[in-house]
Amino acid sequence: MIKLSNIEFSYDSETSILEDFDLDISEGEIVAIQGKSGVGKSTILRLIAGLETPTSGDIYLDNVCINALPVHKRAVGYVFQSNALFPHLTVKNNIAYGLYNLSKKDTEKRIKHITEKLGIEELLDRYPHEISGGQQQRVAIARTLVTQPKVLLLDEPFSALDADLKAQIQFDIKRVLHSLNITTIIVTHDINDALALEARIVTMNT
Amino acid sequence: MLLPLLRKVNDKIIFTIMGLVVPFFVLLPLIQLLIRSFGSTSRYYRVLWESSALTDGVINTLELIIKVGLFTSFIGFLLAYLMTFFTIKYKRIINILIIIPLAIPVYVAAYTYTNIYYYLPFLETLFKNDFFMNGAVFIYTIFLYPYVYLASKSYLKKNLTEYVEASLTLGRSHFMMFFKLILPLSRPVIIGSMLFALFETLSDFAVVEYYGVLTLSRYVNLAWFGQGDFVSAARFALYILVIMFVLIFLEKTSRANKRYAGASTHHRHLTLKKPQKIQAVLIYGFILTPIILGALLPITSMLVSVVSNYQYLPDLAILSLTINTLTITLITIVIIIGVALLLTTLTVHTRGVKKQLLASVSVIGYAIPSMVLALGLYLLFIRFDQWLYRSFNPIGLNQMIFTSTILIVIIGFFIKFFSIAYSNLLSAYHRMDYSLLEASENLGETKLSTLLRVTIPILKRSILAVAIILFIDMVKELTIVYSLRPFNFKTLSTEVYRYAGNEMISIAAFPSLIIIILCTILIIYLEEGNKS
Repeated sequence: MIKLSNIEFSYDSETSILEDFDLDISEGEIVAIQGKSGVGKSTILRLIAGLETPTSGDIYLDNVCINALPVHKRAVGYVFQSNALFPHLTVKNNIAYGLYNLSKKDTEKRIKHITEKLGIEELLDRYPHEISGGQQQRVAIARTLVTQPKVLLLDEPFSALDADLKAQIQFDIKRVLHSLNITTIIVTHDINDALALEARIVTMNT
Repeated sequence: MLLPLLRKVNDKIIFTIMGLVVPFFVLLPLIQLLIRSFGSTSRYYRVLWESSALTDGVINTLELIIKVGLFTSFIGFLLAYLMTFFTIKYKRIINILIIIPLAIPVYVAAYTYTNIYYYLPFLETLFKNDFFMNGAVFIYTIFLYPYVYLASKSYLKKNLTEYVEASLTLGRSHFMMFFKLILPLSRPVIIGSMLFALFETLSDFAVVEYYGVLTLSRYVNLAWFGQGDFVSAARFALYILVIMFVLIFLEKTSRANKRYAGASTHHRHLTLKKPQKIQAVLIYGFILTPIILGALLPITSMLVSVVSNYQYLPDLAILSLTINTLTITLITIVIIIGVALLLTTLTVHTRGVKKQLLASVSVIGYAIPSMVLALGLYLLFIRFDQWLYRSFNPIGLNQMIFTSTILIVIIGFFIKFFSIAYSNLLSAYHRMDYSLLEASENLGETKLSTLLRVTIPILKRSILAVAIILFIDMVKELTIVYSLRPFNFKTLSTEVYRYAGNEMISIAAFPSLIIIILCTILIIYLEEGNKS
């Protein structure tokens, strides 16, 4: 499904972020990349999403090298650590943002489906600053899943949540991911997050 | 020596005095204007009113600010977008060249363009429908767009990275993203910075005078200096103020209940887009046009004038003009920064309504057009001076203390530019870790001695930046100096105005060039300092 082969990445010639990194993920698999801060966990997600370009090595999606494919054509969903919800748009318009190719009817249908799955159908008319951190998290995931990406990337999705909320959201995400059977890569510094999602754990060291 | 004194002084009294004196000083000229405008209507005002000339003045003013607002926003924001999101060759130099027009005072630009039109007549024909209005709009636009450019560039660079990345991962193209995300999110910054360009437009009287456009600023000028009619001048000034406050009100309500950059954003660099061939031609064409019109052409024209008229240089007393300019500028900068530091400290330690009131009143000054402020101050101090003269003449006072010295110019500068120092230092204060201040007080220092020992050393870069911004604005300022200066007191800006007004545009190039050189050096220093 997704394969990273001999990936190297650095911002300049002196500091190397990733060296000779390989990763192979099957369709529908949930993989958690775990490790300390600064080892390059998020960089892997950014490389897969196309937000960074590897210094060397190849990234394959369904056996096709996507190194040269622009970000907006990759069909890779990325949920940012900060959620990055557009503050000038309502929850509904945030979720509909990536559905510009669909008719109004289909857009409504998709939004209804995903918001029901994540339990946020009551929030559609609100702005991001009018909802809680946990709700923002669900909206960010809904916004990404509604575009039906081939791969879902989650960057430290639970880092800003308190313990009770974290457990609830982990449960909900696990349920949604399993029901959609979507290939998922999650980056976390906490091994418990990986265990909660029943993910295959890849540990990165410096 | 200062430190032990500051530890002994009751800082509460100092802060209370400052908190009362500064807002009082800022509001007093406006109150004076209001009182004066209720005087009996003069024949001059009646004639203007009945002949609909006044209505035309209001319409001209509105037309001018609408056009200048639209064009400065378009050019400034698009330049900022292109410079932020695309790979541009020689970006550092181009960035400086884009900002250079800010170093050229608008009245200098207007005079210089008379020479440029002579050599490049096709430029003049672009405005053939209404040369006077469109010519003035062109000058204001080309020399004021950097306000929008600088604010937008800073915003785009620092605040949008994650939103842009999120948009790209959701499949939106760059083109669509500009309209759906970047433009709507940037709206408050564009409107806020455009207001600065409009404040400058409404403050200036020299460009509209030169192009013969009868705006309200011109009417204030004509009523005051042409007719000596202070009541009419005060009324025209109030009309301008009403326009200013309507603009500020519209800006505030336009963003009410909407959050524009709420989510936390990382200061990660954006991945730049490399333009394709035709795209690159369009982008470089768009970027180079304002650079040529706003920097290269006027500066070349001035250099040619200076070289071909160098024999007049000894008669111009450039050194004395520069000394006069530097004297009032530097004295005012020291006063403004000192008071702004005290008042920002007070603001930081104040809570609730008092804090909002203090912050609002302290930043009004910049929004008051220079001509309006000058008139308000003149009306205020001429009376005060007369009273002082009558009271103290028997014991030897033989001149007007304020209106016949540079004191009134310094007060005018203070009120006009205080808000720049106050708002910039306040935002620098907000970026500071407050626990440092609390730790200092916990260790036995007063608020005043903490200011000296902790705040000033930490904020020294911001203080320097504020001093440079103040310097650039003050060196260029004409209206306040020209309207309030004591008899025979000349500065670089007043001499530019005098020579250009007497059709000696080539000679005006000498003092103009000094202003531009001073401002350009400081702008480059500021921009490069920001990068490091």
